[in-house]
Amino acid sequence: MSSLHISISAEPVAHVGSFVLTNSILTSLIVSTILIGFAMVAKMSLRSKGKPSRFQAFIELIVEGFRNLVRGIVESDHKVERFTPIIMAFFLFILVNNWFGLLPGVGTIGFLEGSEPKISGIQQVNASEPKADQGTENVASSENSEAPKFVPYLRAGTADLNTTIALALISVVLTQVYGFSAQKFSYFSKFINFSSPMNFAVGLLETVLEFAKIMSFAFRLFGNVFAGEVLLAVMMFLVPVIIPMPFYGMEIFVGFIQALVFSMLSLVFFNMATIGHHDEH
Amino acid sequence: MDIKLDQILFQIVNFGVVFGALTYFLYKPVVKMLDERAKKVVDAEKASNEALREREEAETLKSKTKSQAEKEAGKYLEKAKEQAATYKKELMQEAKDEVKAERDKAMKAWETEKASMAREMQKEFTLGVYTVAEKLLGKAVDKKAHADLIDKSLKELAKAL
Repeated sequence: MSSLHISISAEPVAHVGSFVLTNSILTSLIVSTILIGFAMVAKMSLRSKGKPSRFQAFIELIVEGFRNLVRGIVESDHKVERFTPIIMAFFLFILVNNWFGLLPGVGTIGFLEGSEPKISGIQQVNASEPKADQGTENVASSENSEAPKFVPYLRAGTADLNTTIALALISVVLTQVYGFSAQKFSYFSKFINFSSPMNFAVGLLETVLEFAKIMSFAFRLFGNVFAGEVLLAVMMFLVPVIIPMPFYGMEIFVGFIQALVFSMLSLVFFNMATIGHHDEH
Repeated sequence: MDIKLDQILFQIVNFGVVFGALTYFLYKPVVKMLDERAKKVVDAEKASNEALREREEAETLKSKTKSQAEKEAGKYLEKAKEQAATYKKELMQEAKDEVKAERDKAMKAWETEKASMAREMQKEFTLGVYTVAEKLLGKAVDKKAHADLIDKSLKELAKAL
């Protein structure tokens, strides 16, 4: 197949009742299965007596690393125990999703949707005209409008805006939950404060900021991962050998950094939410 | 870009399941094990410190007992030396006394022997004198004759004087 396939949104690969199973959801499910399987294997391999195995040492390194990372920011044992699992889950879920998108076959193995294929390579890059049914923009176009469309079976989970929005929503909602549980109703004085006009305005800005966080989280992650996929796809299309390798290395690094950024920002927001205005000073 | 609520909800549930699994299967058991291990290390450290402290106490007690024993041993040694010196002195004195007694005894025996020998010699001499006198006088001289001879000689000596 000599065409360049780029789609800004995830494409459906199956239908379960009315639910559309997209390739990014399929990837996310695989990633989730891998993570759950890893966690189960980890639990089974734990030995409290004798010399720990290398795998156990690796698991301990991960968990202890996360605890120390969180402890370095929140400095309270109670908060460490509370925040570490969710931060670890964010990091691992995003990291494995990001890296899964770099595996051979992901985004390149799929099926042709539609009638007989008459693909003749790159014709245009049309990102401004999403298709109404699936919201896809194929750089590879066909000579006629009824050309079959290539749909990969798998696509990085984080290269789908729905996934990143879901993660952002979880992060922001948890921020409010932690803030409320730590400060009770005084937490909301951050948003609704009638003590002075300035504080009221600041409260409104804080409210807007919470929604902006969702957008920021979601689009940052999605943008970086999707941009990486586009970059790799273009490089692979132009020079299929050797040249894409440094970009793969860079995308591995970007995938790690994005997972770390998302996790660390969430952690900082969680921590800030649990600290009152007076505590901040 | 399709933003679909059902897919967002699905991903939220999906992530929730992953979060739950990671917490239940990975985080909690590992943290529990790490905490237990840390507790074991702390306990072992405490026990080690306790053992070290006990050892130090034992060492102190040992050195204290040793010095006390050395002191007592010194005392006993001194006493023993004194006793030995006294005993030695006594033995020496006893030996000296014995030697003296032996010497006295020997001297006495010797004196007796000497006296006996002197008497014997005197006897022999007297006998010799008798013999010579008999030879000179040409007759047997007995004790009475001898005494008379002596008296006679003494009388002549007195006349001469």
